[in-house]
Amino acid sequence: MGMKRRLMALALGAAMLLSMALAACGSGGAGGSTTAASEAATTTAATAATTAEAADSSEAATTAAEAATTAAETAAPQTETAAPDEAAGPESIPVTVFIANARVESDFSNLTKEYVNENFGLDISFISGVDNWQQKYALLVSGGDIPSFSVLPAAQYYEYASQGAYADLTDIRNNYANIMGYVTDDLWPRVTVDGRIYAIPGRNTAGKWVVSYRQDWLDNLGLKVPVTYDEYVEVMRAFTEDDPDGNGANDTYGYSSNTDAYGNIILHMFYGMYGAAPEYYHVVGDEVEIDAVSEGYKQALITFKDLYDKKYVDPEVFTQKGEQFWQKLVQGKFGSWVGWWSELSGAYSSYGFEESQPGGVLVSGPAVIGPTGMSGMTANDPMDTTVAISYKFEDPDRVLKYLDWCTTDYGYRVSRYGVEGKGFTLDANGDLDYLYSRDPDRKMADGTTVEGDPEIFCFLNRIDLYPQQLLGDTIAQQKAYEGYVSGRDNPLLLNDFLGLTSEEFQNTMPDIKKYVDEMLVKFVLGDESFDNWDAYVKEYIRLGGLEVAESLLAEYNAFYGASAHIKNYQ
Amino acid sequence: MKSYRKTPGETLFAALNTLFMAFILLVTLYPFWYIAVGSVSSVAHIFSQGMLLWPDQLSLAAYEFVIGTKGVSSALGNSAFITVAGTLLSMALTTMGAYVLSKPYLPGRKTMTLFIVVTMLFNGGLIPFYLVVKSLGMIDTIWAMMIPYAISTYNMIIMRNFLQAVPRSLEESAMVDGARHFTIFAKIYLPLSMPVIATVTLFYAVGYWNSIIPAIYFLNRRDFIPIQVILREVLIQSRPEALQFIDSATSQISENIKMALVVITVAPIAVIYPFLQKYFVKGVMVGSIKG
Repeated sequence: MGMKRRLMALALGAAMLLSMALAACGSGGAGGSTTAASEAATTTAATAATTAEAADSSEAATTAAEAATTAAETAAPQTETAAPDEAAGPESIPVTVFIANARVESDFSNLTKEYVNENFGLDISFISGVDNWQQKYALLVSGGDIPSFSVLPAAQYYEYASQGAYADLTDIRNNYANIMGYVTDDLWPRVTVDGRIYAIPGRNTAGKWVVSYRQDWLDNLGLKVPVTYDEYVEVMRAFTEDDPDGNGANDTYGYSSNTDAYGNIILHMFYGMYGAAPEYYHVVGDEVEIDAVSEGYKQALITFKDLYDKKYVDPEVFTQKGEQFWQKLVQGKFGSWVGWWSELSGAYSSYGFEESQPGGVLVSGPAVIGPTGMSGMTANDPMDTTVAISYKFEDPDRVLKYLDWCTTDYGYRVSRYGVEGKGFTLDANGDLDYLYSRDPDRKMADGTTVEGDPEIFCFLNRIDLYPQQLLGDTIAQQKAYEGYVSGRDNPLLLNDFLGLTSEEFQNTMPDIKKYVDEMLVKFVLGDESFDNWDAYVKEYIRLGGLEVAESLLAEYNAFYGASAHIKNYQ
Repeated sequence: MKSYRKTPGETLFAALNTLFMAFILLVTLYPFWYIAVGSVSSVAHIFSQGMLLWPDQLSLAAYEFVIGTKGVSSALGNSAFITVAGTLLSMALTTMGAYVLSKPYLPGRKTMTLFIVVTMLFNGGLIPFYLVVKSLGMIDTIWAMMIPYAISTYNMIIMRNFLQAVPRSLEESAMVDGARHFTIFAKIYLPLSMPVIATVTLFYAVGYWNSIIPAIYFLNRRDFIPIQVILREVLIQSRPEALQFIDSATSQISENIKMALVVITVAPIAVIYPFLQKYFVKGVMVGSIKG
């Protein structure tokens, strides 16, 4: 019975994915035709994700999900292999898996661990290095103890792949239909080292950054979520000067922000307004523009400086750490910020926003359209971490089989949210429910408390299925979905040199970046005048900025068969 | 003796001094208080207060959770074992090594000392160190946390300097009475060096309790990890740098639970500190000045 149910679950899951795509791009009706379904069946999951973007409100997406469930009952194209029979599971072998950061293991996550062991014969134990993980990994490799497989960011993968640390997957990957369907064509080149492929790349969405506001403050002031730059400045002004919280004190700011994953000050929306971000490169026609010394970047800083000079920006924006940022948010010290999409939900689920700000409402908005008519947020890398198998590991097929299963609907849910019945439920009618917790008290839907999660067993993200578990009743879930959609749907500022690397880039860029960051702060604070912009550009070039760009350009030209050249900055 | 009367200036100075020291004390103690209060409060309370002074509740839920978390109690046990066994081992080796090196008539004493001191300035680097530990078969054993770190050169120099200051006539008279070196060491030198022994013991114990790097480098399996590793893992999870997966900007671990874990980690070593502190201060002075 359990076996039958599992097969059914898989079939329904597959149908759900496909019909979600079709429901979202079509009229939103549940009666998607069988022809459309089979057409959709030939498309990859990527298309599903992209088309799902059409669902721009949570309402539409809920409809899509409902439609998907209904459609799943009628059409059930079997495009995926079934989960292996538990009884027929291969003999278990111990495998070590390297992940940079350990997550807390619990009895709950152990259920997933046991499931993987029973079905795939992989007795997984994790090796991680906390904040010394790069050194830890170097030690393991040089000591001959390279883990069975490693989940690594691209940079570390390149380094060790070029030294021959991993099994060549170029040919055998073709035996795994789900993996081949999962990885989009633009990602394979990203994991190609010397013409061979040594890793399975994970996927991600590029749109991550979101601008959020205090809706209750906007209401108090009789304002709307701003769309144009003029409206935005008015909101910033009113949040700062018009006592939006009505406490009679001049103690609020319009804008504040956390720092991003690399410690950068988050000006992503301002970069989007001018189409230039400090670490990006743009190819216009045949000419490559280095954003860090471009006119657009300068204008972005001038725009932000203007808000800063008017004191609409939290003066601690350049120095504060995450904790201070969250404290100010839940204490109502600022009314808007640009942040990672899940911060909107995190305010409710992790930092007690509702309890601290009774009547307070956070809402996301679209990326503000800049003075020149451009808008957007800087794009994140659509490639997540890579999974590479050790050259020493005797049975790479066993790992690939597991990864192949991880990219199926059922496999993704089990590996990410916990085993069926505990992490999610799927009844015979195809009704899917996630029990996964976003509750501030970490209460699962069945009432048990869980800290930690089985997410560690999910090495390949299904970004198309991911939003499903955000469709819930709690405010944190709703805000998570809102943030996700907002981030996904914002226009994106792309880096044309994304994923390219060179020796010069690795050696010189850290110093250049330090200089650029320093100058950014000086320009905004007024310690350095914009009259000295040319001196800044000169220093950028003196530090080796042109050589780095040239070296990346060589990669770019070779890769795309282009013949672009760097703009003349001398 | 005539009673001494303080001038107004002196009284003022004393008062200001007391105030100033009290301020320093408060600044120093507040982080501890903050963590302790946070660990029994609700998450919303922690973030809604600018300055956390009093808890909104006295909930032990966070402690219950931490104690019940897989691996925490065994990690505490590991830490305790590493601290006790490691300190005993270190003290045995350090005192004996220091005793030998403190003898002026030891042939080649200067050269030997030089060889030892050089390790304070230069070392072979991380990877060779790792390979040595690996070839000795200590990877994934609890001994990797102790044996490679058994002697701290700095502590041994402190100890050697102290022992050098013990009058040589004590040793000579014991010799006349027929005592051999081990007896002299155990019955005369050790009892005389209690201050420095207390100091160095404390150095070692605190070092072992707090050590995290060897655990990260030398332990792959989780059987022997100390509590510090778990603490670090939990604290790092909400940081944006830990952002490997698409949903990581929000923490999976509540703030009050992190604080409870900090209390559990810090408390055992903080508790023994005051008892040894009187020796601690005196010991360092004695060792260094007379050296």
